[in-house]
Amino acid sequence: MRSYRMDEITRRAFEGPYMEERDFDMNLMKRTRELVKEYEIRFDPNEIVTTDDSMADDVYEAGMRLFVELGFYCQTTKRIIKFEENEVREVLKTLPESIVIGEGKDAVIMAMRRVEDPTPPVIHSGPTGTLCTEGDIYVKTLRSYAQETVIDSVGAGTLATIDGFKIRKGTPQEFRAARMLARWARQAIADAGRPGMHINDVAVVSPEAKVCALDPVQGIRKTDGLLVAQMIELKTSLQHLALIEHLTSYGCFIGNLMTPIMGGYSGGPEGTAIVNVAEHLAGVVCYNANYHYLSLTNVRNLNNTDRQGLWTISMVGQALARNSEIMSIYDCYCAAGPGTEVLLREAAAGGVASSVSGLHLMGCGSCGGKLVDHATGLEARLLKEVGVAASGMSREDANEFLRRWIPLYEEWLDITKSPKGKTFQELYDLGSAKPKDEWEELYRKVADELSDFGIDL
Amino acid sequence: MNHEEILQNLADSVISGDEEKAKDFAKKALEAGIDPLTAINEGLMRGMSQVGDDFSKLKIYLPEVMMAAEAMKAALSILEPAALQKGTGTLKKSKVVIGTITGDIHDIGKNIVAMLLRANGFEVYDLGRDVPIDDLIKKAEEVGADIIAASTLLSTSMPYMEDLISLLKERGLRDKYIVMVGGGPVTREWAASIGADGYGDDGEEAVKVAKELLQRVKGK
Repeated sequence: MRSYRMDEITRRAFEGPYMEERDFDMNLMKRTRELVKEYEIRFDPNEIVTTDDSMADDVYEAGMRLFVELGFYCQTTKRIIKFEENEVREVLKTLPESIVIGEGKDAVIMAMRRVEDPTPPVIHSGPTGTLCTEGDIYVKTLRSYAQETVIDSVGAGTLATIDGFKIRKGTPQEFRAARMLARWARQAIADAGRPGMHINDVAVVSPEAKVCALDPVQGIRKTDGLLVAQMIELKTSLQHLALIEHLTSYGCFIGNLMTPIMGGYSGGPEGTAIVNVAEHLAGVVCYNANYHYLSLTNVRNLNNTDRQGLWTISMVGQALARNSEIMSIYDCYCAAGPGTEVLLREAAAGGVASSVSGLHLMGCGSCGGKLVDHATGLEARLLKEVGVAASGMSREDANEFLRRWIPLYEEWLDITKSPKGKTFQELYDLGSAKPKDEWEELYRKVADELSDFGIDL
Repeated sequence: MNHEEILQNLADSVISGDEEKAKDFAKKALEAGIDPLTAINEGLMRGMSQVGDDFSKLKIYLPEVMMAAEAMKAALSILEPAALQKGTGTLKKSKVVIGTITGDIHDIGKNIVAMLLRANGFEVYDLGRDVPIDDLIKKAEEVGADIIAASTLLSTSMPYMEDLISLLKERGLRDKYIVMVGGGPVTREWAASIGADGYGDDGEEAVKVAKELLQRVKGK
């Protein structure tokens, strides 16, 4: 296939094999179980970052087989968009080793990272999966990220209201929210003195509403990006493909947003890793994605900082880093909230496991996205700093750290018991958008602990 | 094999998701003269309760729960007709109309709840995803439902849950149905604030709450 291939993808979405969605889910479930067994993929709670290269390669190969055998399900037409393996490999060959995101003095190079790569990860930060208050509070929230010098990109908050009006999907207010989210993100980065910083998304649901954010002056520019979601697991729709069509012609970056569920249709960590490799391949071939958001969540606790989640992320990262040029980003979802040591400890574990495994960073989500304004720039600062500190670290050292570090927080990962912390407004000075002492002191405390563990921020 | 051993094997067949074993022991239960309702409640349901508990603690994952549900369905295909034939009349199931509400096409959470409700003896009408609120109400009226359950993963679909309750009130139907809500961004506090009757943090809790509400509100 040629690099511009949307007509062919659309044709397959209309002419591919017809299947009820439930049957597709059942096929995915059964085939994934078989592949886990065939390749003897084994989760090891005491080796979060696998040192077994052949297992990572097997996960990649199994993911490729799953994608080629099952295909990408189109919910609109109830047909399967299928590809031959050679077609997938042809597209993979076209991927660049690096991209430049953002513009001017604020542009950063985002390069393909490998396992134990000494090159620091890039962080796409923001209140990922978190509801935020509209207006000035939202601007200040994003500014709290943008003015952290280690942060490379912002975006991604979700609004509950716009001009006081509840935002329902598919309404005029959702379209307005998309436009305003982009404008407020521009204002936040300008206020932080970084007007060319890459904006990574406006978090509205309807693909057609996202288009409203595109505006070379006040909104999403060609140097920014928008995320296009896959549906769980390995599914898309004509609406999402139409958004890809428009973003491709507009020329901004496209992020493949995957939200695999650990414990869902793909089963445990082993199956989830295989399915997620397949989802990356779907993002490469069908979404023409420049980067990929690995937004894994646990089926119950809605986080990815437990042993199963971190193992899955590390395995996918290593599988991709060893076998492809697919640039993937670990989207850090924590069970606890800002203003708590638990969240910082979760973020630190995620930073180490992902950075060593060749991934870039995004974060941090908190409290299962259930609590409004539970997101601040400080936890993203720590996530990035840990990711940088772990650049070039050996997998053995990462495991040694995680074996001692995870027990410090894992008893708090049950979503019903994890500490919820405080809101951005409670933890930050709203004039300067800087953390108050209590939050800085907690950060310093955890940073000191990390230093005792050999990770200097 | 005594009665207790047969019931235990029925429970085990559900836990291991073994359809053949489930059918086999369903037949054995009838041959041994075990009351079909006893086989359902003390065999299959006991197994499914264990499965729900294990899933809630993530000792097992969704594929194992789906296999357990299939095994249970296979055994029920033998035990339910036998129970009806005996004419005990106690097989009357509580009815739930469930769907992912308008604007949202995420359905894995709703599917889990629907499956666990079915496995716990509810008659479930699953309307799928992106379901308009009046469709939920229409179906509830049509089948004489006890519970209307709505799920969403999106904050932008949560207002439709409020609309569901408002529309029930407007149409004078609010007291007729138990309304349960749940999903990623939904909290217990928010559910209470919009006047929903029940909320579950996960599928296991949703089933527990549904049972409690049925007893408390409808005396079932």
